[in-house]
Amino acid sequence: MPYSVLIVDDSAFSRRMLKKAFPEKWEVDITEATNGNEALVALTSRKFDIMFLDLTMPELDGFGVLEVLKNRQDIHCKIFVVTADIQPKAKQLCKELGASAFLPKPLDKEILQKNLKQHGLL
Amino acid sequence: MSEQIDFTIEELDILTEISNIGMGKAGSALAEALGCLVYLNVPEIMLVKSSGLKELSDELIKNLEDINIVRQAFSGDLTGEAIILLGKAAYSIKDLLGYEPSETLNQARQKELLLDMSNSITSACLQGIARQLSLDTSLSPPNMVCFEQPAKMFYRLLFGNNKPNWDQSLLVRVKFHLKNREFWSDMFIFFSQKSLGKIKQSVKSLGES
Amino acid sequence: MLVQEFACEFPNIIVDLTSIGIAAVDTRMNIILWNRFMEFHSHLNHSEVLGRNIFECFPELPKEWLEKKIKSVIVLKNLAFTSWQQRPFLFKFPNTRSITTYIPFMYQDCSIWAIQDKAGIVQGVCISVHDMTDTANAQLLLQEATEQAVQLQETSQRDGLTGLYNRSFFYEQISNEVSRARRYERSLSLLLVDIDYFKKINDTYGHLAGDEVIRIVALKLLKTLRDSDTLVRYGGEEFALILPHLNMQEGAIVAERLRCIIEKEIIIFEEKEIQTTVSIGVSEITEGITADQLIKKADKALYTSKEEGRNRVTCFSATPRT
Repeated sequence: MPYSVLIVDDSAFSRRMLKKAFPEKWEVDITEATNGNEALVALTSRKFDIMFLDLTMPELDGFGVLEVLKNRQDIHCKIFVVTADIQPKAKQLCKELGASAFLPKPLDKEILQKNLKQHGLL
Repeated sequence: MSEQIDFTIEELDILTEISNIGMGKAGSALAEALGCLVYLNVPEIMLVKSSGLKELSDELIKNLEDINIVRQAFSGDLTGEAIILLGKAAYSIKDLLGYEPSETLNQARQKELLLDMSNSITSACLQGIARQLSLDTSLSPPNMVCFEQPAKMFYRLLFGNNKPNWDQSLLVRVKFHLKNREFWSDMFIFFSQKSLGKIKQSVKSLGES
Repeated sequence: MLVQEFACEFPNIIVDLTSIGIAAVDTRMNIILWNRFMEFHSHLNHSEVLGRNIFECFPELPKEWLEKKIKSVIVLKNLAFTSWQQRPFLFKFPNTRSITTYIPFMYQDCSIWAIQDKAGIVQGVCISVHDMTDTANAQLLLQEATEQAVQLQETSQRDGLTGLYNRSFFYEQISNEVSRARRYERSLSLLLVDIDYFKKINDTYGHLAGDEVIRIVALKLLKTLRDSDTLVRYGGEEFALILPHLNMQEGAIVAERLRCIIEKEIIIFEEKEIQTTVSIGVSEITEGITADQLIKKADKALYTSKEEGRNRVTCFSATPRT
């Protein structure tokens, strides 16, 4: 059964690059959202196995999404933050807010593969 | 005069995204160099025409009072000028740059600090973008355009009373500030018309990869 | 010599360079390169410094600041700069032109850049030192000259248009005169002379005409001076006349004579005939009076002249007029 994947990023180019980094034989059903609000709408309408979340987005950004999800017991989803902002403090904050992984852009195929395996998604 | 270059919406999206990535790396490097948490916000990208420069300048300095301006040229594959606006609070970061706590920051020291910070921020951000585009560039020494002058002098000091001798430029705007410190800067990287062709080329190949 | 062979000579050429200083330190701040320029100016041979910590060799270097600057270059892999304009020098080298130039140390512009190995790992930094003493000297001299010129202009005591002394001179002079008069228990009177309806003259005939009026009035006033008198252009259309040895009555007589002369004068400007009058206020020194108070009294009297119709002389009176 394919994994259901939610990609949240305001840049079309970035979403494309992310999909390119996916492992070759990985069976996925992809939904895309362009900002935090759209992401929350998607998350409440169906179950996702994993969400790839960008941090810098207009309206509701990545941190905003994480904060909302922290208080939502009804939404269960692995969260991989994929971001250009790679300072240690940002990583720490994301982990505190419940992110499972923190991955720098541009996303490296091997790093992604390793993390997916680690979280039983491959 | 080189011919006009146009960027498609997709190309601008790519440019924004790689500038973002570039700034992420720049922020990380600056945080390490300064030993302090750095905020580089998401860069704004816009194509500017020289005819719109005055209006743009007025918009940029809208809520500012006294400012400092540093200018730095760069050349190579990417050519142009970075113009950095800095706030007054040089004192708030003197320890980060290794000035003795007992050392009073006279005007010369304040200028030195501002030039230093500008140089670090500009080189980190410029290198960030250049690397993502796989293009080369190097910075000239920074130069103080004005020290604690009223913000409304911005346009006059930089572009004088002469009409600019270029048509278009790509402008990348990045705001920088430090956590728990008063220090802020607003950087405007103007890529000259000459480099727009190379930039478009790099962006196109990234889009096609 | 083949180009390739010549290229191999570059490191030696740099080391032997005497016009630019080149030094390099590793990441632990130990000196790994010290070229001939640096040797000459530091009086330290490269064999004496190689392998030693740069801050040990040069204790006057600003250690904390320079170390942070070097570390920043290593992390950012960029170029950093110092300019003589903010910091006269990095290395304290004696000025070579020690006989003709009074500046004791070499002014320097320096660049610092990272040295990366083939793997891109930073192994140290290079520091280049440029002697900027000549440029600095020239610029400092120019600055001095400019400052002097500006200062001269500020303290200049002459009014450009009339050639008379100006206001700043007046304040000096009146203090002296008042002191002197008090010391020798002599009289002194002060006249403040103001051209009537001056704005109207400017508006009607133009500013150049206004200037001509001021010039002519000044000339007329000058003609009446005795040796001991002082005439200054006090303001735009105002003059002050210090008359030692004269009391208020005597001062008033002089004032009246002046008023008549100017009333009768017809000023020609660009074939136009301009007639003008003046209002005058007179005051005299009294027991314990200060120069300030003397001026204030003359000013009050002048005000009264204006109020009462202009083209007249008023002596200061303590009692208010009904």
